[in-house]
Amino acid sequence: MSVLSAGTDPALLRERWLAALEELFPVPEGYREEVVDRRGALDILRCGDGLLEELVAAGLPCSGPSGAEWFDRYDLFNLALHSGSGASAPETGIRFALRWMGRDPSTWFDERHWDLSVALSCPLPDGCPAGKGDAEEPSWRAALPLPEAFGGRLLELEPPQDGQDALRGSGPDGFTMTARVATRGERRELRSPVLRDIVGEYDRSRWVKLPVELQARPELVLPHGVAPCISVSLDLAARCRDAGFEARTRRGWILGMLDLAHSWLEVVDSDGRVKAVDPVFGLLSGHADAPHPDFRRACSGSFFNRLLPSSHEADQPLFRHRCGGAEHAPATRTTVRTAPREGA
Amino acid sequence: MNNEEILTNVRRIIGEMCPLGAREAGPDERIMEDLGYDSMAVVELALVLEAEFELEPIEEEQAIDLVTVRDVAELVEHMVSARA
Repeated sequence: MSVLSAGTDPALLRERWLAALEELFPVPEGYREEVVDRRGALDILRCGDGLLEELVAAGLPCSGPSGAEWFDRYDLFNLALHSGSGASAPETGIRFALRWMGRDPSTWFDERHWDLSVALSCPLPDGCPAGKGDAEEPSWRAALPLPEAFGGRLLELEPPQDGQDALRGSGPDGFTMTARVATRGERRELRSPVLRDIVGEYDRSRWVKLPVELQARPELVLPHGVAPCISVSLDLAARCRDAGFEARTRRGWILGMLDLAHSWLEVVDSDGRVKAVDPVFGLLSGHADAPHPDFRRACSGSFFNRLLPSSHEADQPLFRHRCGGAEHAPATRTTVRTAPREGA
Repeated sequence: MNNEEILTNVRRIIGEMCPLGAREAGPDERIMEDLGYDSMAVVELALVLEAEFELEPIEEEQAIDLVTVRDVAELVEHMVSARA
């Protein structure tokens, strides 16, 4: 059900969907996973069965017989996000999650307290292989939340860090990381004209979601006019280093309702200060209802209180799981809530 | 609309929109753990509540703290009384 789809001219809607399909960068072979059935596709697109039929006929990539097709979930998300229908699940969710981008800029930088909980589980259909005498003990790793990188504080962490570079656990029953963090932001601006020119080169790209392994190959992605965060961060880092600037990428979380991992660049500007460079956040704001006119500019330098940095670089996964002699991306269930302030 | 009516209407809406199938939603049931709402379903719920009760936009930070049906009703009560 959507409260946003009523009243839109069906012919106009159809036109928008077909135009979005023409612009779609389909996930290439080798990275595709066509595991979403027709019903799942309609849950994401919310375009109606007839229009889905038309999209398939017009070239929406899929496999399987007519009427029982299988789709790639990234293709569906990106098609829906750029459809302009106003009613698809990605448009609705992102628009809601980005409402804060339209608020007064002071609210992007003040101190906020959050509780973050991430429960990891084995993605294999039957869970971790049953332990046998010589079987490998299932293991789990999670990136450390690092709010200090943006001037915040880590207030509580479970399990404790123990001086290691990641949180670790073992056993077949999954792993849960919980953290209470104080995040802060700070308005900063890029001073170097060279850096500003480099960052400006992504302004005409479109934000999309793509598999992490594909995003880690910017040369396969960016020439298509799309700009997922990991690809952009890696490309930006290389360009900034080539131009003589000290730079690193950072993986982290967007704190809010949707389980969104994010990546950005941190570069030492010509004034000697570290600036967070995040053109993808600027592109994302194009999907908000009424982003503040200063928001995109703030993405070139500022730290935002909605971002929780981790200890990892952009192309390092936040979570890892190993069992049965192989590495797997664990299934995650993330819960974010606001936390009471100390003394409140 | 008084608080009791708001709770009744919120229970009806949450029950009708329940991803597990339409059902009676008790005030102390947890919308995610007990009623099967995921984050997208909560977004949809927030948008429907805004339309149904003619509320100002619900902030994401308000929505993420909604655990039970009663929490949802209390948020609506708060926003309705702030509007008055």
